[in-house]
This record gives sequence, structure tokens and C-alpha cells, in this order.
Amino acid sequence: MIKKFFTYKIVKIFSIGLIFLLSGIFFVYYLNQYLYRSKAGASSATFSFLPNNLSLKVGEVSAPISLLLQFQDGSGDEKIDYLKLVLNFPKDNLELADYIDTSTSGLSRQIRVDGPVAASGSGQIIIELGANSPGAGPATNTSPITVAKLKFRGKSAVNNSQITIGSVQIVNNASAAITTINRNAFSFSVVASCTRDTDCGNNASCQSQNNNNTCVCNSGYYNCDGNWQNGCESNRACTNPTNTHTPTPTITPTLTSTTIPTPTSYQGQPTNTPTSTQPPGGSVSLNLKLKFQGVMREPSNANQRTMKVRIKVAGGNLSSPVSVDADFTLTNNRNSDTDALIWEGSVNLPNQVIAGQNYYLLIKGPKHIQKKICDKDPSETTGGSYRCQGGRTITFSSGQNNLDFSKIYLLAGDLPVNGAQDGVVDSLDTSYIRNNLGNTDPTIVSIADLNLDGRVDTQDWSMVLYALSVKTDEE
Amino acid sequence: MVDSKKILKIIGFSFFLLIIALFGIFVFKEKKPKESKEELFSSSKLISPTTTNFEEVVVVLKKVDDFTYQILASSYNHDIIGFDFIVEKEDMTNSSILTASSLLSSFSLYQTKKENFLILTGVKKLNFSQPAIFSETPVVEIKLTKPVKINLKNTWGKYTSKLIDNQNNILTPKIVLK
Repeated sequence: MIKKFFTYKIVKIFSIGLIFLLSGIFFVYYLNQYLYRSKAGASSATFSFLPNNLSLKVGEVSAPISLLLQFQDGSGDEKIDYLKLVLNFPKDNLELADYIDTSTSGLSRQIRVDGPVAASGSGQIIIELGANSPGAGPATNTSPITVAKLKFRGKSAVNNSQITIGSVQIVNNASAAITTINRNAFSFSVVASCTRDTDCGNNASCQSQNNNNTCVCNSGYYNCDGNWQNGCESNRACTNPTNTHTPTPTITPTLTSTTIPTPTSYQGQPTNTPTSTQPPGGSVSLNLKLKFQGVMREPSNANQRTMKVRIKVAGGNLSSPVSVDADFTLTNNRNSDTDALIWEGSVNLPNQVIAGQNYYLLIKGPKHIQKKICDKDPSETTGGSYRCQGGRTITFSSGQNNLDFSKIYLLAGDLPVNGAQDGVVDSLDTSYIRNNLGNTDPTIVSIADLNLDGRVDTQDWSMVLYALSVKTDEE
Repeated sequence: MVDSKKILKIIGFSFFLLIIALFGIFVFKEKKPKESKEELFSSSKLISPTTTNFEEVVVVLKKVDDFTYQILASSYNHDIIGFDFIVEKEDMTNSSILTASSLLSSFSLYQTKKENFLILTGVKKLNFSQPAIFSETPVVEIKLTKPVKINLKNTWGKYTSKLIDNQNNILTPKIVLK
């Protein structure tokens, strides 16, 4: 009797225990599946690049480089809801050449994807993507996911450098983070070559040498630090040259020889006397007068009395524009009492610009819209209304050319908000001024004070609104 | 008798372990996702001004009728002081003309036509100091002279669709076509 009682009791307890156990297992399963997961389904994620290495020339744009994401132990039920990653690259050697394509990632919501301006300024690219709705992202058993396609441009020479993957956050549709991340870096080299004059910095040009384009200093300038980003920075021969390449001068047999100062090489040493005929390149200089919108009085800050202006020459024999930066100095001269002050500056044009050819100029101030000019003495009836039309051109003479552009306005409005101009006047420019009205902070003033009165004010606001009618750089 | 007691003890101990284990899993998982979400949220605050923002900003192109469209914006608590929208007209000819106007008295609208695109820039007027926080707010109306299909684009050439807030943050919107 007693034995039966205990047998019954044991069975009863065992049954209750079994019910508890099954309930517990179900409870844990439910928590794991629908509420919280103790860990992400995928055990780890691996980032890699395809291709994983590359060699670029200075100025050359790479083919799209795919950033791949591969999960280990993924499943079809586990979806990626959120992904954030940081790519680090050496901004002195490389720049992001185009907007990043994330259309293949399967995450259609772009929360943040840095563009060329932000990325090239910081050397960091942040890509932050989300699924349109929970569970709408790619499954972790997809193999592999192309998160982004990136294009880079070679900026300055470097051997065996890397693009690395920094912090990463991946969250799946169960709100669990995948924390084990493997990162494969991208190796690259940039060789000291060029495709255009702007690759060579100031006072230098890109010249063809034995099927290889190389940077050559303009006459009278020397590259003593070996860095072509700042071009040929010295007007004195280098005492301790840092670069070894010595290109020979460009040969153009159809032109007769003229006596001109010889261009200098990477080493800052004069190149050998050419054995063939030499184009009269480097012999064209411009003395320019410019007028910037809104600068009616001398700025109180002496630093604001000079302005760096980019001058591009296009047309003629040039397949693409060549550019030179020059400092312009404020004068006390003006065309009338109600007109803005005139700025003056001189510039030696790169060797490719040949006297006698027909060109047009593109002129861009540091906070201004680029202006296309094709008349030696242009004028306008309304501020900023001059347009280069009808295929007109300017023919340069050898030596000094005096060009008076002070009867037309260069309109302000394309602010260097992120450290560089983007060629467009838009809500970022207007908002930057509106958000800083009354500000006299030197950093803000250097970006948004258009009339150079030492503060950001409503006059600057009016100027940027006026520039919205032109909107973009003239090309 | 002794065996039964032993079995009871084992079963009791197993229940105890099971309850402890369940409690542990529950408490541990309760905390983990919260931390993760807070981390995600805090990362949005670390973004420096003048860069694209983390939070969801939505712009909707809504067809009212064959000749009228509206652009509605949601700014997710950001005080907007400027915006750019790129409107693409699928008809490449000049037979249809687009004109846009601001639906907000506090904003001026500037428009530029480039090829088959209409680039719109909205600028908050200086005399309006009230915050402009959009919540599916109709901001722009587009009129067509002929029924053609139009789209809102995120980017085209140098142009980008964006909203700028009072901290100069660039808010890249998610574009929805209705």
C-alpha cells in the first residue's frame, strides 16, 4: 500500500516536472525566436574587398571596388536590419572619386553614406544602411553580400598603403548584434603619374613622356618637397631635392623653337637642353583684374586682402582644362563710386597653353561660382549677367597679357562648408549663412563672410540668395 | 522509501536549476538588446554637423491629379531651414512644363531647370523664427502643363536632394513615390 502510494507520487511529480520542463523549453524557444536571442544566428561576419589590391596613377580613377560581406553559419531566417561601418583611407594619397553605390547591399534605406567631399576631407567613409522594415534585409546565408561599390582616385604617390575597416555594427532582425567581425584590408599603391594638370598642383603641368604622363614644374618653379599635391611650391632651386624622376621636355615637332626658360623636373633641377623643337609653352602670362560681388570696402582683417583664385584655361589645343591657382590682392581702385573694389593678380600659364591659340577662361573664387569668360574686356548691365556665348574666345600673346575682368562680377555663394566647394549654390550654403548670422568667429567668417566685413550678416545672406539664380559653376 | 526521497530531491533540484537558468536567460537578454539599441541611438548624436544624419527623414512625392504633384516632408523633430529637391521629368521634350511653388509661407522657393530636371531649393525666410518641424507636411506643389510622369531623385550630377536643419546637419531623405 505504502509502496503504491509512493509510486503514484513519483509518477505525479515526474509528470508535473515534465510539464514544467516542456514549458521551460517552449519559453526559452519563444524568447529566443521572437523576443530576445541569446546570440545572433551567424557566428561571425567577414568583410573583404574585391579586388583586394590595386595600383593607381596619380589622378587615375579606379574601377568600382566591391566591399563584400560574408557571414559564417548564417541562415535564411536571419535577416540583416542594420549595418554601420567605417572605412579608413589615407586621404593624402587617395580620394573618394564618386558617390558610393550601395544598391547591391539589399539594405535600401541609406541612413548615412558619406560622399566624396566629406570622405576626402576626413579620410573616413561612414556607411550606414538599414532595411526598409524589420526582416526586409538580406539573409545571412546570402553569399556574399556586396555592401558597396567604391571608386577611388589616386592623389599622391605611395607604395603599399591600405584601406582598412574600422568600427562595424551589424544588427539582425532579432535585434541581436553580430559581434565577431573579421576585417580584410585593401592594399593599394599610387604611382607618381598624372592624367591632368590639376593632379600636379600649383605651378606645374602634366606632360606626356614615353607613353607615361608625369608632372613637370612650370618655368621658374621647383618641387622641393616631392609632394605634387602642393605642386611646385618654390621659386628657388632646391638645395635638397627629394624626388628622383627627371622627365624630358615635351616634343612637338610642328612648332618652331623659341627661347624660353626651361621647365624644371621633380628634382627641382633644370631639365637638359632639349634636342628637339620646343613649344612656346610657359611663355603666356596673365595680368588679371577681377571684381568680387559685395566687397565694397577694404576688410579690416589684413588676411582678407588677398584671395586665392583658381584659373582654368580651356579650348584651343587643350583636350581638358588646365588650371593654376593664384593669389589676388585687393586694390583701392574701382570703376565707379558705387562699384566694388578691384583685385589684381598675375599668373604664368602652364606649358600647354600656347600663344596664338583660342581659349576661354574659367575663374573661381574661394567662395564663389565659377565664371566662364571668353572676352578680353567683358562687361555687363546687371551684376553677374555676363555670359560667354556664341563660341567667342580669347587669343593670348606670348609674354604678358593684360585682361580686365573688373567690369563683371564674380558672384559669391558656393561656400567651402566642408572644407571644399561643391560647385553648386544650394540649401547647404544658404543654411550655413542663416545659421551663423551675426557670427564673428574667424573660422566661420573665413567660410561665410562674403562681403569681407568681418562678420556673417544679412548682406551675405542676400548675396547667397542672389547666387541661387545662377546656381552652378559655369563650364 | 530512501530511493523515493532521493528521486524527489533530484527532481526538486532539477526544477530549481531550471528556474534559475530561465531566470538568468531572461534577465541577461532583457539587458542586452537595450544596450545595443542605446548604442545605436547614441551613435546618431556623435555625427558632426554638416554631415548626413542618422535618423529617418522621409520625403514623399504624392500625385494629386494628372497635373498636380505635392512634395511632403517628415523631418523627425529636426528644425528645417533649407531643402533641395531634384525633380526628374520622364518626358525629355519641352512639350510639358513644370512649375513649382512653396506651400509654406515661411519658405521661399528657388527653381532651376537643367535638361529634364527641375532643381528646387527652399530657403526659410529670415523673419520666421518659429521652428519648422515637418511631419508629412506638404512643402512644395508642382504643376504640369501636360500629364507626364515625374520622379524625385536622391542625386543627379552635382545636385543632391536633402534637408538642412538649424545645426547645419545634412539630412538625406528616404524618398517615397506615391
